[in-house]
Parts: sequence; structure tokens; C-alpha cells
Amino acid sequence: MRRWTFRRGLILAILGLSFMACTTTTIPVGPVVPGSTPTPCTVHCPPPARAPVTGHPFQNKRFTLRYYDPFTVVKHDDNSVVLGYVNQDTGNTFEVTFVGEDVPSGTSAQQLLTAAEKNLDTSQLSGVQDLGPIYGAEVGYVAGAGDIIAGTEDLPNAPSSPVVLELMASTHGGTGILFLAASTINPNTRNPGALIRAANSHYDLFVNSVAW
Amino acid sequence: MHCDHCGRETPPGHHCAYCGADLTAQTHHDPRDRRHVYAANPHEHVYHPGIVSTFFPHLSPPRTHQVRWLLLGGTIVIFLLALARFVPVAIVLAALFVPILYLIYFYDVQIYENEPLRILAGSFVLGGALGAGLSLVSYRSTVGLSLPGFGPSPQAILQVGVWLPLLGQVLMLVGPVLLFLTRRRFDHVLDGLAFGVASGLGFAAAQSIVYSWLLIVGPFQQQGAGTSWALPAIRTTILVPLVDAATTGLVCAALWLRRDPQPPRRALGWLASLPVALLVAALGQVVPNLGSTLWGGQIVDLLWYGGTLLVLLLIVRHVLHVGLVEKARALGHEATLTCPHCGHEVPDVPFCPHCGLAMHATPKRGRRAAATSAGKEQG
Ligand SMILES: [Zn+2]
Ligand SMILES: [Zn+2]
Repeated sequence: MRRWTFRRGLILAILGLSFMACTTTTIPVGPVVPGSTPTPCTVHCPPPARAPVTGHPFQNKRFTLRYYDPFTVVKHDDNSVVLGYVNQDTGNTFEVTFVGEDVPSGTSAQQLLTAAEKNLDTSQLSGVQDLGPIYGAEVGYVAGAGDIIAGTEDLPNAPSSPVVLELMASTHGGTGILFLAASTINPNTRNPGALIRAANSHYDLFVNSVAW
Repeated sequence: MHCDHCGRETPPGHHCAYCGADLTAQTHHDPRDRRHVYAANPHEHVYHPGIVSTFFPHLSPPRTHQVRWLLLGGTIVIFLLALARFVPVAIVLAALFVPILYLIYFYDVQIYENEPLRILAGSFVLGGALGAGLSLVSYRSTVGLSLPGFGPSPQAILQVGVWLPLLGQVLMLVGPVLLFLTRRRFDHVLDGLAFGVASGLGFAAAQSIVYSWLLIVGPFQQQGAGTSWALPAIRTTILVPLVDAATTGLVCAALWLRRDPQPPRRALGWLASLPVALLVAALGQVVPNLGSTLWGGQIVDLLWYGGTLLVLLLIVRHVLHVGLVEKARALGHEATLTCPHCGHEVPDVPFCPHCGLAMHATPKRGRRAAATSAGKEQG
């Protein structure tokens, strides 16, 4: 009888531990979305003020730029910087890369973009498709060329979630700057498209601040 | 007829009915090893990479044949559906195809004896529930870790390649270990294998469905190159489920070999020991996941998973063969059974004397029928 009880305890312990193992792998879920700002206005109100974003300067041998919260520098070297942001509420990951490189004089932005797209490693993506050019593409107010590519991230056991890649390139003298933004969309998100657009406004701030 | 290997009198035939030794062997190999006569399917060599005779060892030759064609046909259909970019249908079929085939087998050969629901709950359902749980909570931190253009970060490599697969392996073993603790009468190596395989398949199916949820509820036909959907479909249909089934089945086979009260005739060997099985299972999980994270690509991934599956398959067959031969015992039905492999009538002995089949690798359904008819005759 005692042995039976011990065994039952052991089974409960194993079950409990395995479910605990499941839950402890959760990445900390971010802060709760704040409620609406208290305001005395009820009708015909002005548009809500945009939350102030703090800019931080970044500089390497090729270029300078400003990046904005909540992005942080993931890694950088003399020619490039990777900025990243994981939205803890939605799980969406955003990565922005700027790469500077020497280009033969006369290289057009479109040529630089095409070369960059050829080098892009999309071997872990399913259903890659070109969503078309980015009209008005520019880096640091230097007009360039841009393209949007979409696909599905292929995790080790199954194709999983969408990935959107936005590329822009500009050339100026003997230097070219390449901008690559990559983001994922989480199925828990009610309106994934809105997040991409929200991120784009961040991207604009970054892209406009580049100087080289 | 006298067997020189175990010293017992055995019915005339090619094999000793008690130790399974090959009595007609002319080779210089030890006839007791009988590597050319796999104990669960005498028509195959032990190291023949047969998926059906490894994971479905109770099947008779006609059924083995049917399941082999079903596996091939099903995989081709899913491949073609994915190639035509009917992604939601392809993914759901890919995730469920092998598990459903296995459940049919589970029922067909009555592995569960008289408690189908509890045994299924303890293996397949619990494996699936834990697979879904782990995938749901790890999903957010897993997607986007290897965004293209940057290469995988060290964090992504560790998470996707090492600790998630290892944690998954531990969770796949939970159900079978519970059955090990609570169902002592299931004491045969093939019982352990079946519980492990069922748990692994449930886990893999749930994981694939959770990870692909957005695609399953997405457009009926996706865009892009068909092959970029079809190649992962092969992985999801056959390779990932069978790797999970093999690692978990291997550990369970080693565990149940310890449970089996029959003393082994000879040492089972290091490969059939529990620590080695655990190590092989851990490597079997980490190698393809880590490999495809570090040096991935849709074709390369197939090689990682396919290569790992091949090695695991041979190790599982080795362990099953050694277990079936060295721990062979009579079934205890005290009647005669028709050997499903050669058609001869076989008394209640460990091996078919004619083809060398370990009689434990026959459907439990058949044994019960034999036991019932024997009971009637005696009564
Ligand atoms: Zn013998
Ligand atoms: Zn036979």
C-alpha cells in the first residue's frame, strides 16, 4: 500500500515537472499594454500625441546614423550595424541592418540592390516571393532603389511564420549603403499588417538620419 | 533435433526454437547472432534500413508490404500537394500521416492488450499534449531567431539546435516512463518500443501543427516556388516524426529490456544499455537540429534528418534484435500459432523453427485467439 502511494506521488511529480519544464521555457512576457491616456477631452479631440522616442547616435568608419527606442545595437563593425527589437507583447522580431561598402564609380542604386538580393540567404525560407519595389526608396535623403521580399521561416520541424524583408540601396560617390529590414509576424497578433507599418515609421527615422 | 548452442532438443527446422540460433549456418559468424535473419522480420538483415519492420515490428509480411506502399504513396501525395502549394492541406496531412498510420497499427496488433484508452493516453496523447505545450510556449522566442541576412545568432543556435530538442526528448519520455511505473505487465522490449514510438509521434505531430499554425489557417494556396514547400513537407511527413519516434523508442526499448524478467542468455552489449540509449537519443535530437541551424538549406536539412534517421534506425534494429534473441521466451499461449512469416504451425516456443521469427513479434491479437482456442480445447 505504501509502495503504491509512493509510486503515485512519483507519477504526479513527473507530470508536474514536465508541465513546469514547458512553462519555464516561456520568455518573459512584456509589460501589459498601458490603458488609454486619461484626457478631459471627449468629443472632437485632437489626434493623440505620438509617444516621444529617444534617439541615440551611432557612428562607425562608414556612416553615422541615429536609432530610436525600442531598437538597440545588436552588433556592429567598421562597415555595418545591426539594430534589433523584439516586441515582447506580440513576439514579433524586427532587425535592421545598414551595410556600407565601396562600389565602383557609376554603380547605380539598382545595381547595388540587385547584387544584395542575389547574396541574400533565403535558403531557410519557404514560398519566397517578390512583393515589388519600394517607391521613393532613399537612404539619408539620397534617392535609391528598394524592394520587398516575403517568405515563410522554415523552422527545423516545419515551415512556420512569415518573414518580410525590405531592402533599400543608395550610392553616393564611391560608397554604397544598403538597408535591410527583416521582421516576423506572430500568429497571436490580431492585425499583423499594422505592426509592419508601425515599424516602418521607425525605419523612416533611421533611414533619414544616415550620413556618409 | 539437438541444438549445439543451447543444448536443448528443438523441433526440426532451420532455427533452434529456443535460442533462435541458425542451425544451418555455414558462415564463420556466430550462428547465435544470426545478423542476416532479423528477429522481427526474418526476410531482412538486422542492418537493413527498413522503416516498417523497425517501427511496426508486429506486422505480418503482407501487412508490412501494405504499410510500406502506404508510406511511400502518402509521402508522394503530400509532396505533390505541397509542390502545388496547397500548403494548409499538405501540412496537416504531413503532421498527421505517420501518427495515424501508427495508431491503426496500434489497434490492428492490439499492443495495448485490454486497456486501449489508458495506454494511448499515456503514450500518444500525453506526448502530443507535451509537444503542443512546449511548442506554444517556445514559439515566440523561436520564430525570427534565424532571420536571413544575419546568420543565426548564438542564442538561436543554442535554443533551436540544443536545448529545445533536448527538452523535447525529455518530455517525449514522460508518458512512457509513467506507463513503465504503472503498467508492470507490459514487460517486453517491443512494448517499450511501441510506447516510445507512439509518444514521439504524438509529440512531433503536435509540434508541427503548432509551429505551422499560421500557415494552416492561412491561404489555401501559397505563393513562391513549389519546391520550397515540397522539400520541408518531406521532412515534416516522414523524417522529423520518425527521428522523434526512433530516439524515444530506443530509450524505451533499453528501459523495457531492464524490466523484462527473462535473464538474457548472453550479455546484451553496450549499445542496448540505458545510458548509451540516452546518449544516442540526445545526439539523435541535437545533431539534425543543430546541423540544420548551423549549415541549413532545404535540401541540406533533408540530409541532416535523413542521415540521422538512418543511423538511429540501424541502432534501434540492433537493440530490438539483441533483445528479441537474447531475452527470448515463449508467449505462454500453450497452443499453436501460424507463423505469419512462413505459414508453418508453431508450438508455444520463442522462435519459429522454420524461419527464425521471434514469436513475440507477432500481433497480440493472434496470440489471444490462440490462447482462447487452446482454452476451449482443454475445456
Ligand atoms: Zn538452441
Ligand atoms: Zn516462421
